[in-house]
Amino acid sequence: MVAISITSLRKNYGDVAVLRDIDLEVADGEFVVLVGPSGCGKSTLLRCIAGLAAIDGGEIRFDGRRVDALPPQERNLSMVFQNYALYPHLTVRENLAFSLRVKRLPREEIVRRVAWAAELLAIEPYLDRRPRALSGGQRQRVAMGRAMVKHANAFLFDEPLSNLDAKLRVQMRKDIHKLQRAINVTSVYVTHDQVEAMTMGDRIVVMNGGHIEQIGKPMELYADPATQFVAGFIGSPPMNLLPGRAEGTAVTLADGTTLRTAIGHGGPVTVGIRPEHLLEGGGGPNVITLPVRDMQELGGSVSYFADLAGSEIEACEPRPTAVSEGRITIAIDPARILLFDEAGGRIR
Amino acid sequence: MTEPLPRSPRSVWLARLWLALAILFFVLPILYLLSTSFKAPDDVLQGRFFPTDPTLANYPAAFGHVPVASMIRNSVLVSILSAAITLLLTVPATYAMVKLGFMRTIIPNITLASYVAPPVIALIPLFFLMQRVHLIDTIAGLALVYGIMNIPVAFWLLRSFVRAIPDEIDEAAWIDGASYWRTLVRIALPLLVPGIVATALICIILSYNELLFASSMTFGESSRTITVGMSLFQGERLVNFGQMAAASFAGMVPVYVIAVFFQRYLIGGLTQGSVK
Amino acid sequence: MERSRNSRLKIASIAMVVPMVVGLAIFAAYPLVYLVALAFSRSDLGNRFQKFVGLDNFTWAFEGTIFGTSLFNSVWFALAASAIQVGLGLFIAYLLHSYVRQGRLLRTLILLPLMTPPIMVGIAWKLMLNPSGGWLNGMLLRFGAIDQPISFFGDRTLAFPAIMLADTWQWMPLVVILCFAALQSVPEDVYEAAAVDGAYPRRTFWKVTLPIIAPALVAVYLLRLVMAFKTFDLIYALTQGGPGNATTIATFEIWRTAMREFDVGLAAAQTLLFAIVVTVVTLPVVMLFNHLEKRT
Repeated sequence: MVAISITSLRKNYGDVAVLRDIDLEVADGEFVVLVGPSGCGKSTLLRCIAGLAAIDGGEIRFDGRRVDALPPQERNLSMVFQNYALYPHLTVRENLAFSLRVKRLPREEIVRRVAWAAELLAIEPYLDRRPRALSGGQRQRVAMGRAMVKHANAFLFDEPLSNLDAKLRVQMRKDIHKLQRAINVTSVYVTHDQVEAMTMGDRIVVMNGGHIEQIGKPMELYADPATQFVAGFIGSPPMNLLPGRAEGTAVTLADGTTLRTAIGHGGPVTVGIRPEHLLEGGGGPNVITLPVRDMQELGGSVSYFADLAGSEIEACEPRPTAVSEGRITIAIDPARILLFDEAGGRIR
Repeated sequence: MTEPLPRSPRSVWLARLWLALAILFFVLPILYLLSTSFKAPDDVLQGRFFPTDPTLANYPAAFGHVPVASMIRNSVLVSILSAAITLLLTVPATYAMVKLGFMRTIIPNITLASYVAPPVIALIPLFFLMQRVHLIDTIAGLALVYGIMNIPVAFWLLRSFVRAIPDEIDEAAWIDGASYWRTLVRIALPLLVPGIVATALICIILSYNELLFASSMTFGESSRTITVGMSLFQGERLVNFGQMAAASFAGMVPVYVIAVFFQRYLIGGLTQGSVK
Repeated sequence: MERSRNSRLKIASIAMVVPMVVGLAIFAAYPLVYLVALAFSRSDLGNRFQKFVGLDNFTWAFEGTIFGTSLFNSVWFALAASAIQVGLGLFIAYLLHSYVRQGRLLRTLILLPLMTPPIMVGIAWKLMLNPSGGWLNGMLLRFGAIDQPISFFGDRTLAFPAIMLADTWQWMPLVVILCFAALQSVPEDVYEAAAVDGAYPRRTFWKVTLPIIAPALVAVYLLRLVMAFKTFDLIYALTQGGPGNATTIATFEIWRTAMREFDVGLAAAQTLLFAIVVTVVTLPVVMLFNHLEKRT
């Protein structure tokens, strides 16, 4: 297990900069999730760490040792691919043993490790089958097993659960998390699903357009987003964002509605309020009644859609109480209102 | 293949007729050759399709008159040897180009240029070269020439097969610590077997059927191939057509055997190569 | 896929590629250089590079030999034969694609002409078309269509068409296989959509299928063109370039100059000229292919 240290990493594809000035420290044993929309560079960053892609500037160190010049064969990592990448012509047992035979480990050691991983992942019944005879979930576990037998410096995951159905995905998330806790190996996990990021990561790295927007614990990102992008990306249902103009602690929206905030500022702003917070501020200064355009009941919660100052907003609560006669009364606690400047930065 | 759209019975009948005619066209000359091989010299002059008085005498006569058996043996040897050479040279290079990104623009262009050039271009220089290294008039020399001659074809066939292997599998092997060579041999090669078989078969056929280089670079009976043998048959003044047909048909048998037993691989190879 | 840059990769790549490149250098690069040297010299098979003669070989090729005619023959043979084969081949492939589902026996039979050594193809067709004892002449005589047997390969006007017949027999199966693959690559739902839109098969073929497979068809034509320029065995077997020089194509003429007249310098000059002609003829087709591919 190593600590991974990335400094000023740069990568270009031709003229396009796909990674700009990336700085990231992953502590030994930490589970870090890279999350962001398609094209943000998260997979590219992972591949740079793995040695599968070349970097154009900056450094990558494992426990202080520079590795960016090393080929993937020599970085002693484990990687779990989106499509599992199991060797089709080898049995499960041979798949697990492959890297150990490359390392020329003694036979007894190989047998021991394969048995250990097989038991941990409950894939013992499949050891002599070939990958094409396995289901998606089973293949995924074999891919995990292959990663585990190596006693690698770190584990890299490239959207490993994207190809599984929803229920299996939830189950595998828990399994992976549990496993990582048990082995305590440094892990870097890439996903585009922010729910997955929030439930699995010790810390989350939100990426956008080749650079890092914010790094922090899940709750930090949720409660205290550093940029408008992070605010809109993290949290489900997504944060409501409305344009407005701030004067002191008052913000005027596009249709003249005024909201009271807890922050003093002057100038054009974007107002951010989470759907869960739109119905909590009863008794406060920000009370607005709006006609309900649409409603979605999900069993455990209910969402309402309305128009405010020209934008559609979403409000949600656990049980339907807020609506009467097709109108909803929203009440916002000033402390819950987040403000972002024109550049997308957070105003505190 | 899913079910074709329904057609009118008349067009189906018409289509079947055309197809039957086409099949007949393709099979006719071979059947005629076979049937002529059973004709005595007078029978041949009759010009009928089937022999009126079939005889088996042509076969032993042809084999005795001309060293058909040894020529076929030479052809088979040269073909297999040359296919092995071609594969040995081309498989690693194709892998390096596709998976390791080496010389991605240069290699396709030079192989294409080599293929477009009619072989006669290389005839004279290679003749002198083979003379110089004392490989002229030998099976090994001919196999070497064919081995290299078929590189462009093998490259274009193998390229699609190598591309079909998902990149992630090679990457997984590299992460597992396997060297690039080891990945080629232990991971890629087993997955390439169908493609390699198809390519080998096509190279064997191309070598077996070749005439130009064989006739120019071999002269002695010990290294003569069956195609050259047949071409010499032509030159004789009094040609016994029956024997000639018998020798021809016997010479075609090895390639036909490949066609019958390996047709799946062959068609797979040809169509895989055409998918860009 | 993108690869890391490291010295290990470079070394392995070079080692994997070098043998093939060396092979190609021997077969393509070296001959080219050698040919150029030969072409400008007076050489024969036993005595090479006797002296430098400048462009003499080149001018003699056109003025003193029938090489110019043979070039012309090569070009029109290649263009015409390939066109006929692609046309017919597409037709048969279309029939197979639209009307036949199962085809193992069919596929085996179709492979046979492809795999027959061209010299044997020549022999088989010679037998079929032979004036004395050939089947075709026998049939025609018996039905009273002709009074005298026709010597197909001995007739100045009939020889080339007869050769094209044999060539078509040999290579059309390849065209059929490739056209079939091209037809297969069109997604089924395109046909179904056209049918629902009211298009009958004929219209669907010309307005929908053909435009979609056009790049593939040009590729097949190009492939056949390149192969047709290389034809040698068939001419050798059927006519030896005759009658007279009616069916002499460039490859045969070059071979004759080198191996029968032993004028290797002249043959080298002819070879270079031939290479230029082949390039000039195939280039527009390649450009057409690129243009069509971009459009799709």
